[in-house]
Amino acid sequence: NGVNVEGATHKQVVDLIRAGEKELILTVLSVPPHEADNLDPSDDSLGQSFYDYTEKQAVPISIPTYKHVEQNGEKFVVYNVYMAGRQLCSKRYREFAILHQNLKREFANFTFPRLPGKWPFSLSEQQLDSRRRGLEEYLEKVCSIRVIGESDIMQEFLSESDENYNGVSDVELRVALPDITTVTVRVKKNSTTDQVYQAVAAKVGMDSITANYFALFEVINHSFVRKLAPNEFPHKLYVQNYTSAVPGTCLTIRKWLFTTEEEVLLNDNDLAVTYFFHQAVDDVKKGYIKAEEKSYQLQKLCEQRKMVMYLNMLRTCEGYNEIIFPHCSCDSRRKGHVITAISIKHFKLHACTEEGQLENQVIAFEWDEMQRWDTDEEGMAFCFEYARGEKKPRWVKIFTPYSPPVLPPALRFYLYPFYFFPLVKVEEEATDKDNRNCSKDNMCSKVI
Amino acid sequence: MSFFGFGQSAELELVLSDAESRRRGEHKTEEGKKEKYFLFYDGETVSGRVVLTLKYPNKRKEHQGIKVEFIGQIELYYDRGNHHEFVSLVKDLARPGEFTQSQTFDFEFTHVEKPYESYTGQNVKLRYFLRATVSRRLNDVVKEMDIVVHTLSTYPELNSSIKMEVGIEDCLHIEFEYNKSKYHLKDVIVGKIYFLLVRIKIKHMEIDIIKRETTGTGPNVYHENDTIAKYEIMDGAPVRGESIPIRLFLAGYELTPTMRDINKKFSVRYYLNLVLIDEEERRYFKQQEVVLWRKGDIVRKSMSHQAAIASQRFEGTSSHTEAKTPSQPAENNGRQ
Repeated sequence: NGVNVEGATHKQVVDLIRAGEKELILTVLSVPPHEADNLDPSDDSLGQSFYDYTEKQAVPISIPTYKHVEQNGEKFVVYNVYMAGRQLCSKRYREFAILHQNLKREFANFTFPRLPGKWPFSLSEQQLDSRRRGLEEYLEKVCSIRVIGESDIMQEFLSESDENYNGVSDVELRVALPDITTVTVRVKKNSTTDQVYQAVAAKVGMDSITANYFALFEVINHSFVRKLAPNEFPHKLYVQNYTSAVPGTCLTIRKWLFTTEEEVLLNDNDLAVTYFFHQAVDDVKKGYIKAEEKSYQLQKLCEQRKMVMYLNMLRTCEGYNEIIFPHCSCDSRRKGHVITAISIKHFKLHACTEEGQLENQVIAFEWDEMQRWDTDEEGMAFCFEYARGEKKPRWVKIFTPYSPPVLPPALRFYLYPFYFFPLVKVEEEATDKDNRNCSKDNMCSKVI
Repeated sequence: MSFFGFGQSAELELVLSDAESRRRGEHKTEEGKKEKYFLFYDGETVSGRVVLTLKYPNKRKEHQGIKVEFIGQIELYYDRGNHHEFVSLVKDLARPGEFTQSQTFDFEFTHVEKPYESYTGQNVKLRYFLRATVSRRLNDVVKEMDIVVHTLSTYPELNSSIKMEVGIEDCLHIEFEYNKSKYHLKDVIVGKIYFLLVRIKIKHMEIDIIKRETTGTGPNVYHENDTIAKYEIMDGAPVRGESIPIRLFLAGYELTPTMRDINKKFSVRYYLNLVLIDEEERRYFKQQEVVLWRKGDIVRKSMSHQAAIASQRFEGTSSHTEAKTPSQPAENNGRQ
């Protein structure tokens, strides 16, 4: 679809395809056979390290700026390393030199490009810029060799400071807001969810009361957002998740509120109302809120930007203030899937096809019918026990969704990294990078 | 091609001294055709004669010497100019002089070392050949004869089975087992796949034999992967606790022995790729290298040879001892 995906991760390509919805235009470029992708998993059992330096990847790594810093009385320069426009880390020259040494040791038979030279005296601005460019060229060349770019040494270098700059350097995060704008905040790289959220709230001018009703989410794909746990590091997600569902970021602010009564109390808060309004409009568009017979009236109110009235009317519709989860299988259905919807009123299971298309049957559990809930030992399912009237309590198990995009067969093989899964030794950490949808955190962490 | 000198007026022919008795082995040419060549093993003597036939006898023909060479060389297709000769033996047959009639020159290369097996692959060729050359001022007359060399091994001392538990966390856990890690070319792969956890809908499972030819060194390494075989071992969805047997006969496939870092120029390795395919065409796979080796059927020869020796030994003794000799081949049978 006109986007150059050379060197893109499989996830980026998949997201791009999804974004195109019903249309996809593929331009295929031929490469000489020795450059064509091989189905080469790293086979642990081979027992000897044999590096293939022919596998190349285009990596959008750059060093656009450098900065003079002072730490513990010492003055030096750090170079800011960016990936696809997002800041990854800041490193001083000697950290690059150490990286170069480590890489040369690990990949002894590879001819490395030269690193800009050492200079025992202070450098002029011109020299610093020249060094910046040299380091950038070095990183780009070295990361373009897949086996080096993906090595532990390189990954460690790109993720954290070897040397502690007393609290780690600052990074800029772009966060999407419900009104389809974005805001950029400057925070420490190791800031937690709460810290990042506070920064965003302050930047947009949210007062402390309003801030209670919103939270920071990660956009997984077009149909699912996940609330970040307080102890997560948004920057980590920011530099790893390149979803195209929201432009330029995977972080977004969304409403986190279940009680409609409390929401109404904020009707005089312009900012809150604006955000509620935009999110509601989006939810209606996505089909989470069923406007039905009120569609026409709501549409009119929306066009006229009569936000409070719109919201008042929409609150009576079904699906308002519900958290919807991606469809998945459930042990109470032999065939087909369920969509879980959680709201203040109930815990609902909507029947749907295995592709996620809604079917008629809906089961709603009142909260006082829900006795206990748990995630099973392997973490792949959410179980709850309910009791209805005189009947015996019953357990229901919902399996974490596992639904990659449904693609035509030809494309599946084109996107082979997504469709070819190496089986790894079970004791090791499974390289489940493709299934980020299936994290345990999918589940609502704030069950009432 | 010249107007002067020999040109088409002379022909060279190479004939092996044991051409009648020597076995031929089939070998694929670069173009993919199957041809038969004389089969040699390491250490065997290569002897024969060079036959020079003049079309117009009694016409004097000058030459700068006649020689015959035995060459073993590696040719990389992307670098045809450089032949890497790892065996190069020469025998001078005639000093510079004149010919007036057709002649025959005998030669013998004794106990020639042939350390590697002949191989014709996607990017590399390893070949052995005899080359007779009549040197002349303008154009040499050359005749080559390719032979094929097989490297033989005996049953490896250490041949452990391959057993591993692999999977994808919380989706699929299997334990696979292959009875050996080293198989000869006519062997059978016996094994099984045991399902410990199945949370995906599997449609079928197959085992592929993949040949990987690696040429070049350092930054210029090329891999050529070729799926030699695809063999379905299961059709349908397995459940936890189910065990699927594997029985794959290698004799039906075009395989060569595993060749590791031959003369530091190339390698040919084989992998068993276990592939599970689910209902949405996703492929879950585990690749495992296996070592292939060529078993000599020289045992049969030496059996009859041993029987001959044995009967000679017992020649002239009582009939009851002679009756023993037929049992000797049977003993060898058991060993095989």
